[in-house]
Amino acid sequence: MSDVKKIVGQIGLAGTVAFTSMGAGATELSNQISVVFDRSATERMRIAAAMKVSQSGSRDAVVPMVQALQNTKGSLKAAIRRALDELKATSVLLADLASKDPEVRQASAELLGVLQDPESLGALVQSLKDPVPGVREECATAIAKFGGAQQVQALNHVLRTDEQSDVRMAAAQALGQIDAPAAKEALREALSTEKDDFVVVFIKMGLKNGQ
Amino acid sequence: MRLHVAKGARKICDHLAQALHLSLSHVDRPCAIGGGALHPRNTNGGTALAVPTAMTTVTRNKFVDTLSKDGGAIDLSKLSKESKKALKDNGVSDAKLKAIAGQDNVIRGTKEMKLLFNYIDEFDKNGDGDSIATEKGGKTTAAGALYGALTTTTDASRAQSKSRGAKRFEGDKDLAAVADGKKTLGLGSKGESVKKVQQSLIDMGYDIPGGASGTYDKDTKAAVTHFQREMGIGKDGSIGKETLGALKHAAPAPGNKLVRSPEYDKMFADGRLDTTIAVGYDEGKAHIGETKKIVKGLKADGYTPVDYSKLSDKQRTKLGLTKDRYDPNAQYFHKTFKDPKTGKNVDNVVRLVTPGTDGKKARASFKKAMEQDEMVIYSGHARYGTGPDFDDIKKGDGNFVVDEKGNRSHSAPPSYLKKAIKGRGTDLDQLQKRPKYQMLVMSACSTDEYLHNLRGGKFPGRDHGNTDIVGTTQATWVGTGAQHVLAFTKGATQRQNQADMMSQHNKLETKYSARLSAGGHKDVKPNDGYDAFSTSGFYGNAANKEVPK
Repeated sequence: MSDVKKIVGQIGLAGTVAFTSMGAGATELSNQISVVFDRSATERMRIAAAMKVSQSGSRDAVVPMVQALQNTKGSLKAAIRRALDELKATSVLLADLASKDPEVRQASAELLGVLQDPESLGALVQSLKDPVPGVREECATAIAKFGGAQQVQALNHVLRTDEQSDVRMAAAQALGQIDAPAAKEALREALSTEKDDFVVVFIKMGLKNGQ
Repeated sequence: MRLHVAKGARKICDHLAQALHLSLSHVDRPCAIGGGALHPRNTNGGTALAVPTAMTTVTRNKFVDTLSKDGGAIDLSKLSKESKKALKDNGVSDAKLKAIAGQDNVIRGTKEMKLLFNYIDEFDKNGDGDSIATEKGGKTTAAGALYGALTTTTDASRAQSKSRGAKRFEGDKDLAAVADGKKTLGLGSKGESVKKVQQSLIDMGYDIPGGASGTYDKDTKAAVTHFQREMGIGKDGSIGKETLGALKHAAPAPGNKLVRSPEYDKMFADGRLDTTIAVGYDEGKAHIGETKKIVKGLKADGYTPVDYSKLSDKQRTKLGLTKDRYDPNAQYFHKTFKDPKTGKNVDNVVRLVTPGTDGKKARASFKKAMEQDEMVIYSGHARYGTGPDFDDIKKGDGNFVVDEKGNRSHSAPPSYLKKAIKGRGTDLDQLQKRPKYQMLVMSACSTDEYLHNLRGGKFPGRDHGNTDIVGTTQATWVGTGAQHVLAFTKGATQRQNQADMMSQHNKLETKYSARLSAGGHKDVKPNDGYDAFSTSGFYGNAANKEVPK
């Protein structure tokens, strides 16, 4: 197994991209980011580090800071979110979503799901047509976190037509998060045609409001 | 009631005793004489003209020292017939002893021995709250009989450890000083004594990455703290006489290791393992991705979804999905695995509980899991020690409240959370039953905060003997949730022992932590997370084995 694959297994794709994107000479930035993650440091130190990261203006900081966002709470989380705004995180990740490298696209979709900036929703819906199943799946899961009704049609299309069961599973899950009659109707219809038992699980969960 | 002996009264009492040809030389305290008068005050508080009676007493300190010395302990589940008889004959309440012992059913350490003294003092008629009369007029008193039975029990526990754990520390001057209360080992201590302590911890399955180095580092301190938590003694991370005593009591004989395990025999006894995986709510909606990862993981591990509507009655009974047990708000998965010990097939029926949009339903599902399933795995937020939660932190519907007050040693719950669960006390009080044996895995931040309460609730009988708990000592990463859930589920089907379980899950946290902390940078703490998970209740399991290393 390659090192990259090992790391993906350990921390997920987005985490991998975070570290491979950090080039040489990023020591100070890396220092500050490690303080943001340091659970033994005080909250004040971690917030100060987040502010310094935001001042760096470095796009390399975006991915780890989004990772930090989902692992923190309270004032620190708010500071990280401010830093991500300063770093124009959504724009950086949207650019990554258009990358030639499918791993970068997939990681970007995952992180856009963490960020949940409405500005990214259109691009995520577009990427439901990505040629790589992993990217499509991650986009559907990211969209699930937004929960808005506008995406029902696109998700329904994926649920009914995508060849990959993992992608349909994610689409069913996303539809299950949408509290709208159209989403329920789409799930009910899919229940009568879906052949994969695991996709059916998510359809049923969706029909029971995600339970 | 405590009676003070006035200055000079002892002398007068001695003269009186001599006149009556009684010896008071072996008595810790003189006979009770109130207010310096020669008239012993009777227990009703009045005075009565009576001839003082010779009395042997034991002070509180002597009682505590005698019983707790060198790790002396009273395991209520392993009392000898004689001790049981003595306690019963004198009207000792099992419930009160259990309350003193706490969830581990073992009375050990200064704190619990002091409580035991207070209880035994209730059987005493000497009128002094700081001592008990063990003999009066040449006859053993009720308190004396109890003290005798308890002393025999702690002597037996010491004798047992002498040929086992205590042997590891024999002849060590430093540790002898620790046992006498003259020395403490802690951060920075070095030498053979530290090495012996470290080795004993390692041989009981505690993870000290640097091994028995002879240097008391922070890893050793963490392991000692874990041990202290499991033993129910003070959690200061250092080796004083109480912790050394507990080590002597718990450690295996030199050259052996203690393999601790969940009670898999009980879990698989009916040919079925009932498992619940409950995913808590995350405001950032991480639970959506985690749920998907868990389902995909189950699929990869050979589980198949269960369609309840298509099952015959016979199949429903086989899978434990009878009307009274089936949970319509959950999804079920099934896999038959071969028990590695017996070679027999066992059905693992996994119930998946997810937050959805109705926290109340998920909470009801979790309650059912607590009442009937042998393994319950919760992955989500700990909500500041208040308990699992299946909806937004500001809503109270999804909270399965373990303790309304929440954290005791980490940060306190915010006001909106307090408001959401105000007046709930603990949902554990709502439980109507429990399985014969249950393993609870609380994979969230600092769930050691739950420990004081998880075996509580009004439904009686939960203790270390029937409820083992895996908790955490620190914040865990959101991104590792599904991996932990799947590894715990798989580990059970492989009869994974406690040490391997801890090692696997701590390594998982460590690797994630190291990668997140900026990929191999000098500030990365490679050991951050190695002691994230800890266990409670595994000591004393019938499944435990002492084996040669």
